[in-house]
Amino acid sequence: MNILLVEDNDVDALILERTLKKHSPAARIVRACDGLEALDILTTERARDLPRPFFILLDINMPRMNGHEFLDALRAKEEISGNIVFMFTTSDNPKDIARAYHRNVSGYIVKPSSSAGTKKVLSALQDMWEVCTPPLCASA
Amino acid sequence: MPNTLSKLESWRRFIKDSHLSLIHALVIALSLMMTFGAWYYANAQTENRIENAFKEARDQATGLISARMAKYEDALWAGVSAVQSHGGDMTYQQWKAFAQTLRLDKRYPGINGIGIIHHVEPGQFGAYMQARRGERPDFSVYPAHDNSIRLPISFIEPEQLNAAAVGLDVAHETNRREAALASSASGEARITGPIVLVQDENSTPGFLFYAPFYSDGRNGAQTDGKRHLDGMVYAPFVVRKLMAGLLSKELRNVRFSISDSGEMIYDEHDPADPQFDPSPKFAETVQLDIYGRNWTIDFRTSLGFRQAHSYSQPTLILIGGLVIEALVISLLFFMARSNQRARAYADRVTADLKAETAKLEKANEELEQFVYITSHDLKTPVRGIGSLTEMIQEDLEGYFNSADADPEVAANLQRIAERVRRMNDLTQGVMEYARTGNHAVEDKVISLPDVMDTLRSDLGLSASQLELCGNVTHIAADTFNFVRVLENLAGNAVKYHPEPERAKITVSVVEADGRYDVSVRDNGGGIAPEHHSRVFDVFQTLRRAGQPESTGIGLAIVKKSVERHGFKVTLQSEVGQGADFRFSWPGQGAAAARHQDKAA
Repeated sequence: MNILLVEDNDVDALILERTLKKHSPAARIVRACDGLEALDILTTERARDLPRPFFILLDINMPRMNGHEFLDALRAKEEISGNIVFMFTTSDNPKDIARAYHRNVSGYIVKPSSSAGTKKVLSALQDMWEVCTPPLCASA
Repeated sequence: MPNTLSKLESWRRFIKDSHLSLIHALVIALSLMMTFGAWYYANAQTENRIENAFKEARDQATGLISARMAKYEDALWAGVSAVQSHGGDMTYQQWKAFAQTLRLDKRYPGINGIGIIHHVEPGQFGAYMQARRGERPDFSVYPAHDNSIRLPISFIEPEQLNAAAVGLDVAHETNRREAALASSASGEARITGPIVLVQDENSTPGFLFYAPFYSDGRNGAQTDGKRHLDGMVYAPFVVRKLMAGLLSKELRNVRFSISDSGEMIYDEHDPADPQFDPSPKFAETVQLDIYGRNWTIDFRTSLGFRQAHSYSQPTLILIGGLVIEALVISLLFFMARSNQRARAYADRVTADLKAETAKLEKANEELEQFVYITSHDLKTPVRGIGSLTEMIQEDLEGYFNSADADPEVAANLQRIAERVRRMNDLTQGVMEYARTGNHAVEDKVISLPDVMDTLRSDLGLSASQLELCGNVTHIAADTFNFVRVLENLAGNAVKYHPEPERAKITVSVVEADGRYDVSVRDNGGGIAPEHHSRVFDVFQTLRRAGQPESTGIGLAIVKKSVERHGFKVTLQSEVGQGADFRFSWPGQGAAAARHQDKAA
């Protein structure tokens, strides 16, 4: 499983990386600290370092460019608009949820508060990774 | 047209600026109408009264003339009777005696005299003259004329006034003759047309008044058979004198003139008269049939009439009414103006209050927003601490399992984890509390049985443990908070139940008076009455050691949610008796009204 993690909180990123390493050692994770960096990774030479296909795990509250803005920018750019995005955020605000699905996210995950919860989320994503066929354009 | 329109417009603006309402305008219009109505009515009444006064004066004058003439007629018929009583004829002495008994000057003012005219047949003229000359040697009949009939005046009393008339043959002249013949033919009293009396030195208009007498005493208005006219009792009149005796001009406000066949016989309309009114207020001509003649009486009011009947009443009514009107209008203006001032003041105060309220609401909102953001922002570091603690626990798993592990380390880490969880609960609770009241979620009508199902599954209760009763199945107003209230109350009932698996909760929702009365009753341990006032305060918890954790926010959220709608939560409970939380919730109508507000 390959993941582009867009997350500004180091602890959250650390926990995710740790849990992933523990339960899916084959998984590869690339981290962007905010929306702008994520866009940079997707659209410049750095894209070559990104193993394909991949899921984007997207936080909402971030400096410079938040999750919603990133999502808008992503869907607006023809060559990267087909990417698979899962929201991964502390917000359970109905507005955030509605807005995210409106931008065609594949799932909205509220960050679990325990490691057990994190493990569950990652295993669900792993299952999905194995079951679903990723869009072709995602590897283009 | 545009001129009229602009005029209307300016009036409209005037009315608007002066803040006169339609009702004020109506009041003014009505009272104006009443004023003018009263004026008009009084005027008409007065006019009517004046006209009646004129008619009365007119009728009085006419009546007097008729009555006076009737009285003279009586005198004439008295003469006829006297002739009759003297065997059909009278001597000069007898007539003189009779005339004296009449006392003309006293009882018949206006009469010039009373006399006898004899009908002298052509063959009897000699005998007649002999009889007369026997009484008065110088008697003669004059003037000579060609008419076959002879009607000489034999006697007239008082003679000194009428000396010129003695011996006058009244048949010599048309007016005198025709009236005499008419009187003779009808047997009734008749007057002549206008003549000038021979005895009147002033040669003013006059007339003769005849009453005929016949042979064999066949007097009066008989028509059967022919009768022979013996003569006539007559009286000459000077109209001027007749009228002078009638009713003093000075006592009358009406002047009149009399004409007979277009010839003026009496005229009071003299421009030299100080009472003469060149344009009389009333004027009327009356036809008076009088002893075979038709008199045209022309009545006109005098200046005196004008003075006697100039009534200021209607004018006073009009002026008084208009003054009152002006007062009413100015009163209305003052009222409207002070009303406007009061309204302006009220508006200003209201605006101030509104601004103040808005400021407070904004401050409150900002405060809640601050609380929300603070607690939300606290969540992330707290979660981080929790996660890191878990990580350390994981990393130290090997150490904990080793023989020389200090059990305090594991216990302390566990304590940190617990505190973090508690911190999480608190921030979550505070967030929810802050969010109560300004949730932006659209109200969706919710089904109470569905809410019960969700609660059962969330709280792990069986159908019999959570029951719904009452006649309400749906809630439409502020449903988000309604569900949270039920969640909190039901959740507490389970959480603090001494034996949660035997908990039984009854939710009752009854419609009453446009609102819903809700009761959530449980069979738990109950709450001592002394704590009832405190349970709804924020962060208040009655938890004792060993009991489930509590943030003390749940009931505060319940209270805040209910009080937002102007209702109250009450608690009825005794220790060991379970608890019954009661509150009201807006009904269907309130939700609809609120939606309308939003739409507006």
